[in-house]
Formats: sequence, C-alpha cells, structure tokens
Amino acid sequence: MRNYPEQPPLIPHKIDSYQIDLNANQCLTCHSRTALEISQAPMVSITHFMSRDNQFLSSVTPRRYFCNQCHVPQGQTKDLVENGFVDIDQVLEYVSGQEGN
Amino acid sequence: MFGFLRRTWGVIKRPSVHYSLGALTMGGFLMGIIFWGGFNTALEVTNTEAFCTSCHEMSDNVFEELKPTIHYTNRSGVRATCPDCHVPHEWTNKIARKMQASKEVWGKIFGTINTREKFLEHRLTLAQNEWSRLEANDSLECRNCHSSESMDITRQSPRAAEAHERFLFTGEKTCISCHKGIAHELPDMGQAALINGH
Ligand code: HEC
Ligand code: HEC
Ligand code: HEC
Ligand code: HEC
Repeated sequence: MRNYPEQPPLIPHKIDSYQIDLNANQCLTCHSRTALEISQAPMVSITHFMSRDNQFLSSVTPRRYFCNQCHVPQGQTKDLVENGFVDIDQVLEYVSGQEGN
Repeated sequence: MFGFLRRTWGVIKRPSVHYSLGALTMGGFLMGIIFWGGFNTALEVTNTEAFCTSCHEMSDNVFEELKPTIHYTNRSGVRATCPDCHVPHEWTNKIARKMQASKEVWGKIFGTINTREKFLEHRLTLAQNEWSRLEANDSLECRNCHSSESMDITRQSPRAAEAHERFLFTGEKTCISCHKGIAHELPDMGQAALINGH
C-alpha cells in the first residue's frame, strides 16, 4: 500500500553497492525499457521520461536519474524518529467524526 | 676467441672422465629441480595481492574500490584477492596470463595509466578486456569459488534464483554477463553500449 498517492514505490529488494553515477546506473540495467525482456522487472515509470517542460524524451530525464533520491528499500526497522503521519482517509474519517458531534 | 670456443666445445663433447654418468644425470636432475622451483617461486610471488598493489596504478584505483565490496569484507570472512579473479589457477592459462602481464610492465614504463585521469580515460578498454576474457573462459575465475552445482537457489533471493535458473543453469549466460562491476566501479557504460551497438 502507498501511504499517499504520490508516494514513490518502495524497493522490495536490497540495493547494496548498486552504482548510480555519471558512468553507470545499475537500477536501469534491469528496469530500463530495453532490459525488461531479460530481467522481467517492472519498467521505470513513463513519467520519468518527461522533462521539466513536459516533453517526453527517449530515455530517463536527468532529474529522475538518481533513483534513490526518491526510492528507498523496504525494511522492518524501528522508526529513527517518532512519526505522527496519518493518511488522508484517516483525516477525512476524523473530520466526519467531528461533524457528527 | 674462436679457438677458445672450439676448445670449450671440445670439452663439452668429450665423454666425461672425472664424473660418472650417474653423478652427471643426478646433477642435471638437481639443476632441473632448482630452475623449475625458481620459476614456480617467481610465479608464486607475482600471484599475490601484495605484488599487484605494489604499483600505484593498481593500489590507488582498483584496490581502493575493491575494499567496500563483498569480496573484501563479508560476514563469513572468506575473501577474494586480485589473482583469484584475474589470474587463472590452471597452469597453462597461468603462463598465458603472465605473458599478457608483461604488457602491463610495459604500460608501467610508458605510463599509460599513471594518473587517475589517464586511468579513467583507459578504464573502459581495460574493463572490456577483462569482460571478454571472462566471457571467453565461461567465468572460470568466478567458478573457482562459486560453483553453480553447489548453488542452492532455494536459499537465494527470489531475483537471484530466477535469473540463475533461467540463464545460468541453461548455459545461456555466464556470471560476468550479469555481474559486471562487482569488484570495482564501472566505466562509462553509456559509451560501452555505443561501442557495442546496442
Ligand atoms: C608494474 C606495475 C603493475 C603491477 C605489479 C600490476 N599491474 Fe596491473 N596494470 C598495470 C598497468 C600500467 C596496466 C595498464 C596496461 C595497459 O595500458 O594496457 C595494468 C592493467 C591491468 C589490468 C587490465 C588488463 C587488460 O587486459 O587491459 C588488470 C586486470 C590488472 N592490471 C590486474 C593486475 C593484477 C591481478 C596484478 C597482480 C597479479 C597486477 N595487475 C599487477 C600495472 C601493474
Ligand atoms: C576467492 C573466491 C571468490 C572468487 C574468485 C569470486 N568470489 Fe564471489 N564471493 C566470494 C565470497 C566469499 C562471497 C561472500 C559470501 C558471503 O559471505 O555472503 C562472494 C559473494 C559474491 C556475490 C554476492 C554479492 C552479494 O551482495 O550477496 C556475487 C554476486 C559474486 N560473489 C559474484 C562473483 C563473480 C561474478 C566472480 C568472478 C568475477 C566472483 N564472485 C569471484 C568468493 C569469491
Ligand atoms: C542472467 C543473469 C545472471 C547470471 C548469468 C548470473 N547471475 Fe548471479 N545474480 C543475478 C541477479 C539478478 C542476482 C540478484 C540481484 C543482485 O544481487 O544484484 C544475482 C545474485 C547472485 C548472488 C547473490 C545471491 C543472493 O541470494 O542474492 C550470487 C552469489 C551470484 N549471483 C553469483 C553468481 C555466479 C557465481 C554466477 C556464475 C556461475 C552468476 N551469479 C550468474 C543474475 C545472474
Ligand atoms: C571478485 C573478483 C575480482 C577481484 C577480487 C578483483 N577484481 Fe579486478 N576486475 C574484476 C572484474 C569482473 C573486472 C572487469 C570490470 C568490472 O566488471 O568492473 C575487473 C577489472 C579490473 C581492472 C580493469 C580496470 C577496471 O576497473 O575495469 C583492473 C586494473 C583490475 N581489475 C585490477 C584488480 C586488482 C589490482 C585487484 C586486487 C586489488 C582486483 N582487480 C581484484 C574482478 C575482480
């Protein structure tokens, strides 16, 4: 489940020492359009091909190149800081609960 | 001068009067052992990580990058050193590789990669040499430690198990086709793709 509509999906596997720099992007060795046939991985979202002027490019745009700026691996760990986040449905439920009073 | 040579040749040709045939064969045998041993020792010395990293070309670039990887430190404490991956253990391959290594000594003298910049410039070519070597020998060095027969894919991550089942066990691909850049940083792969034409 995503916690909010725009949440970047979590990575369901480890990404230890995967190189992402000017030379290489090891996420794209499996997730790029041309790698899917072999890797059977989901393709990088089509929105990632869109430049800031809403033009679709032939490959991932520079602003989306560094995958782990937005995507993080999933893990069962203790929260590092206390987190009071509630999602929109809970907020709406709370509001309608208030109105009912 | 010519006379001297002729006289020496005469001595060599003449049957020995002072040493028995047995002693002579024995001597030849011992010398053989000494030379063979010396040759082997020389190979042993050049087959160590200390030797490889004695050149700054190797220690500043590739060795530094190896250190954070699983082949340098891991939970089981078994590690791979440079010659494990780069010099085949098999005897004949060993000699062939040593011959190639002479090229490196040449490179050292003429400084093909004696600065970080020059190394990065050449990195793609060097890496491609290694890739084609490993493609050609079916990743022999990897398989010296990792045997696909002993791989229990039920204990591997789902991604690994699936990839190995579909492509490794069927012989369609070899380790290096999928596991590039496991020991050092990758060179410019965009450029690599352009050269290979895909
Ligand atoms: C005398 C210094 C020196 C030593 C010692 C040395 N290297 Fe190198 N190595 C070089 C240089 C210089 C090059 C680049 C040669 C060239 O320009 O083709 C190189 C290139 C390489 C390459 C790329 C090969 C290729 O085909 O392009 C590998 C792999 C390598 N070395 C591994 C090793 C290993 C393993 C050892 C130890 C057994 C070792 N080196 C010892 C200097 C050295
Ligand atoms: C000297 C033995 C040795 C050689 C040679 C060797 N490996 Fe390894 N490899 C290991 C060990 C030991 C581990 C770590 C095992 C552990 O503790 O999980 C490992 C781990 C790995 C992993 C797992 C990485 C991870 O994150 O779990 C991969 C992939 C791998 N090796 C591929 C290769 C490839 C490809 C080659 C050939 C270029 C190679 N190995 C050569 C010993 C070796
Ligand atoms: C078809 C591509 C492919 C081939 C060929 C291949 N592997 Fe893998 N391997 C993968 C993928 C994908 C993973 C999982 C993702 C990762 O670790 O980056 C993996 C993971 C591994 C792991 C870690 C196991 C785990 O549970 O994550 C080891 C060790 C390994 N490979 C060794 C090898 C060796 C040794 C060879 C050659 C005998 C080889 N692989 C051939 C694709 C391949
Ligand atoms: C686990 C196997 C492994 C070990 C250990 C290893 N290498 Fe490599 N090395 C490779 C592979 C595979 C390549 C091909 C390029 C790539 O995939 O990164 C390579 C490439 C190289 C290159 C070519 C330049 C480059 O970066 O591509 C040099 C030089 C080199 N290795 C030297 C060394 C030296 C010196 C050591 C020891 C300090 C060492 N290697 C340890 C597997 C290994």
